[in-house]
Amino acid sequence: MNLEAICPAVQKCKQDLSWDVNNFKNRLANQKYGFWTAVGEMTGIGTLRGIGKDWAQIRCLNRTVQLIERSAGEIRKEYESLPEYPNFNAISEIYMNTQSLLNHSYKTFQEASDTSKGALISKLFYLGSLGIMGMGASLGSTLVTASGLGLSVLMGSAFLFRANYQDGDFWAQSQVKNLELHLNHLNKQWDHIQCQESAVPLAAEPSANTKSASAA
Amino acid sequence: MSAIQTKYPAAQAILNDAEQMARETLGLNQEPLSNPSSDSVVHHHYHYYRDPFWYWTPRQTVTVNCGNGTPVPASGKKKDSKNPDALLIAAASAVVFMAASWFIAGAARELKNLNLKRDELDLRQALTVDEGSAQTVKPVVEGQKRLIIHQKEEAKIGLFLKGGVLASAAATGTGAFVSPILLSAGILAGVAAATAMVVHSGYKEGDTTQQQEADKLLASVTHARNFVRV
Repeated sequence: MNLEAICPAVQKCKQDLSWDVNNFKNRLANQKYGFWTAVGEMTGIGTLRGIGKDWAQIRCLNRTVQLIERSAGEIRKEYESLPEYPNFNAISEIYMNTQSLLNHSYKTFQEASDTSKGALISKLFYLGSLGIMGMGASLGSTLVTASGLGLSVLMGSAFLFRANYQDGDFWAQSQVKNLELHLNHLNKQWDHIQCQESAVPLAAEPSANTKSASAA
Repeated sequence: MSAIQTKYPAAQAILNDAEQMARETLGLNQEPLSNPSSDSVVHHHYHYYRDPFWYWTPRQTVTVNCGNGTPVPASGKKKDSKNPDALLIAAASAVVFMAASWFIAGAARELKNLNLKRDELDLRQALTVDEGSAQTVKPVVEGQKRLIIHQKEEAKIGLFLKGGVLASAAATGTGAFVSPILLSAGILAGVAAATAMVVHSGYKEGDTTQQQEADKLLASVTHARNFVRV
């Protein structure tokens, strides 16, 4: 029997997660924080673009988190309505493994979303302090300009520190590696049970050769 | 001639079109995939989609901001067309207006092309149903539609923001001669629209959904080709 027909939600979840994990891995590989990136992001326009970029990343990650939540619900329902199969124990093991993978992915993507939120907020604060400085200069107030300047130096330092911290934080990379391993394990388990499932009807019904041999 | 081309020419056209679209989105070359395997998933580092108008954005921002520091004619002073400040603001607004018109024409053309692509896809899908290969190309067509929808959303937002820059440039230029309130409002709206444009260009760079959809489309094209070949 085809395993895809028995547990379609698991199959869909496996496929979706593999794309999301791959996408996240590529994004991590691309977000290296070099010197010129830092210089670019300290200019007002670069900060604005950075805000847009972080916002998009938060949206992408939140979409993945929602997908995980939905998949978890579907898988739970599918498991509860699963009828008795000869290979039931192995199939239920796949469900348990998928749930564990979903939990793991949920934590990873939620954490990544929080990191992007932090980056977005730090950029907003930096931009705000630049705005205060500009406003003070245009109003001709030394106090406001000096406050804006002081704040922008402070916020800029915090923003740079944060960005470099993110660059040196290998937690996300290790989590993605773990997710990939988990997914590979699930795929292998799936293939193994698929082989067993397709072998069940053969074992139940003897082949023509066996019949002729027993007759002789 | 490949098996799919002889068996299903309409399906072949859909697959070629989908592959080209996915490759264009990912910024890859137009060469066909070499020796694709049936269950291969395309793994590569993304070439981020860049707004072709992005390189103009700083210049626009600067032009719009030009008015910010420029002294507005003092109240009570007679405003005539010979006022150099008003002329300067109007000239800057005219430059922004022309640039924004050009951008808006480009964005509208992009949107129209996407609509045409969608219609063509529907037509080809209808042709393919008759050939009995609908099931093979179905995931490809769905993937292409998803990508088109995503690109259309982006194009619509871009069009709206460029329209905002255009309107604010017109308001600033008019306000330079007519009313200081309109001038200030135009400048403020221009700054806001230009800011939104810059944020949107950054958003497009960070939004990897489109690349993911293009990757999926490329993988489904490969899968469909192998399926027919088998």
